[in-house]
Amino acid sequence: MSDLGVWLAEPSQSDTREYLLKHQPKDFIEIDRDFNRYYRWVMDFGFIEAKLNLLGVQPLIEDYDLGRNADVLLSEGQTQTLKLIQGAIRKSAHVLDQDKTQLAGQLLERLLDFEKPQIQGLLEVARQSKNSPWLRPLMANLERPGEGCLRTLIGHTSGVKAVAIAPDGKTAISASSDNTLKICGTPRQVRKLEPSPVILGRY
Amino acid sequence: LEAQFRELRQTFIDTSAPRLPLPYECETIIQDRTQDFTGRRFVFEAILEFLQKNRQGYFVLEADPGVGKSSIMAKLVLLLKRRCVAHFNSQSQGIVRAEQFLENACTQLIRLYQLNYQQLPENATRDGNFLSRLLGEVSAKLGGKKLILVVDALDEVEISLQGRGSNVLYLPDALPDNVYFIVSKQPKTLPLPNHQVFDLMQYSAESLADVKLYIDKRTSNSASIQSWINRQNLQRDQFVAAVAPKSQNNFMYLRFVLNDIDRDKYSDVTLNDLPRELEGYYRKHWTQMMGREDDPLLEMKVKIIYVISNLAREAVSRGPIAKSVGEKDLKVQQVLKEWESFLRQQQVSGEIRYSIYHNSFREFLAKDEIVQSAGVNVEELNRQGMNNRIEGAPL
Repeated sequence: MSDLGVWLAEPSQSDTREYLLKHQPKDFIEIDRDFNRYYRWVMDFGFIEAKLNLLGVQPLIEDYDLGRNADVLLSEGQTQTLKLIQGAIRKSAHVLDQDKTQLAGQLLERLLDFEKPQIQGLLEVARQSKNSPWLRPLMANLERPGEGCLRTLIGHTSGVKAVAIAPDGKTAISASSDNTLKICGTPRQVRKLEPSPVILGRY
Repeated sequence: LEAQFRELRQTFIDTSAPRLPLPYECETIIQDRTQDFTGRRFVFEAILEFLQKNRQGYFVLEADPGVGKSSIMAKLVLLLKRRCVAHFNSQSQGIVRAEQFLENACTQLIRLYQLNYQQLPENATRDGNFLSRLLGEVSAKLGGKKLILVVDALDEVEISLQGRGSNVLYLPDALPDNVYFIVSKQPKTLPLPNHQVFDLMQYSAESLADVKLYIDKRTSNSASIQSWINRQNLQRDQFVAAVAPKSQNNFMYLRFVLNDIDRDKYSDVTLNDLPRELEGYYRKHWTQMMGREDDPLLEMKVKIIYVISNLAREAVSRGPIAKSVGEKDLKVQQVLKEWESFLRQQQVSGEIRYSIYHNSFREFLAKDEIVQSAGVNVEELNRQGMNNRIEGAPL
């Protein structure tokens, strides 16, 4: 485990742990404008693992959005790195939702090919993170962040036959042989869609 | 009123199925806010009329802070024998996000109507679509009965976290037949679907009558209030008549002041010197504290209350408070006692957590003039608190 992971697990942090995992990245930015420290925390495998375990995958993904805010000053390289980590976690979200112990494997399989030292450092900790025997990926076999899909949405119970993307690129509708349509997107965009007779007919 | 609601339940609500308890946070708020509940008949009659005259829709109860919106919403849940969906937003408890509402409401709907979902789908809390779908499914099952959703304190929702242009909490624009939302909010403008407003502030005569009833009830129940009145050489009705106008029909004020009399905190205060209005109550407490300049704990007391007010995006336990101000747990406990009328205490996973009881006190603390008199530098306090919390962290 990382030093930060060990520290967070100490009994002396027991009553602040939840608070720190929830709010500390934001506090670094908002209270102290200490962007480097924000960066170090959200790049730390121990922090990522502890947060995932306590709070689930979505709050974790949102921590990396903080870094994209215009008044958060990070180097080009740091911004890129955060994007890769967030991308890898987002791509793994549907797996982690089901089984949090897949974190190390998912990150290794998606990030091993990136040679940035900070990413390799994070993966090194991930490699050491298990106390019991496990099948540790030696090569990146899963789709990497930045290529292919952003996130896998699960929910249809049968094959998806068609997907239509709205002209603004922000809403998608999928049609499946399970006789349902699913609409993904923000509510405003969903509301703007004009229902076409064809879609209604199929529904 | 009981009878009218019994009739409503019999005609419009299916009471055959057993009702599971509401989520813990809801139950604690309901219990707290319906303590000594008095009157408000005219509000409930308006709600009943709304339910009878409309096929579906939104009923919005509007009033200033402390006037009793949450208590009315909580009482409504009890009058409905919990055969409704209930959600209480609360800044001091960190219940401010649309996802929390959607998760709570959808879960309650699925349970209440035994809908066929093993778990909430992943996108259920992203926007209002899944909730709308459930409302449609329930509506189809209602068979002439009604579904009522009670949602308190829309003004405390963190709307900036929602998709742009959406209704607060993603409340659906269109409701299916026999589905009703009874919601409350302060008089500020919020993005809401079409709705009917009930402005509680317009009913000052009715509210004044309820205020008097409440004072009388609290007095009957408390020997120490009665003896305070005796010591002032007053009759009970004189006491009621004098305190009611000071309250400006604000029940939060009454709760604080009557609690203080009950606990003998006003033994040397005369009727005339009782604080005026809610703000007056805060101010008086504040001045009393600040007046004791020889109090060695004063600085720490002030720090602690500001830490709670700033930290409490949710209720916090003594541990993080003590760590943030860099003091011993035991000392903090001593100080928390001083502020106890302003703090809500609740048991969460085996420990007591504290939050600001009413948002109006947080607003009071944030006033420039109050911050100045406290001599706190809020930014510095936040920074110091954060550094204390992460002291020793290796990164």
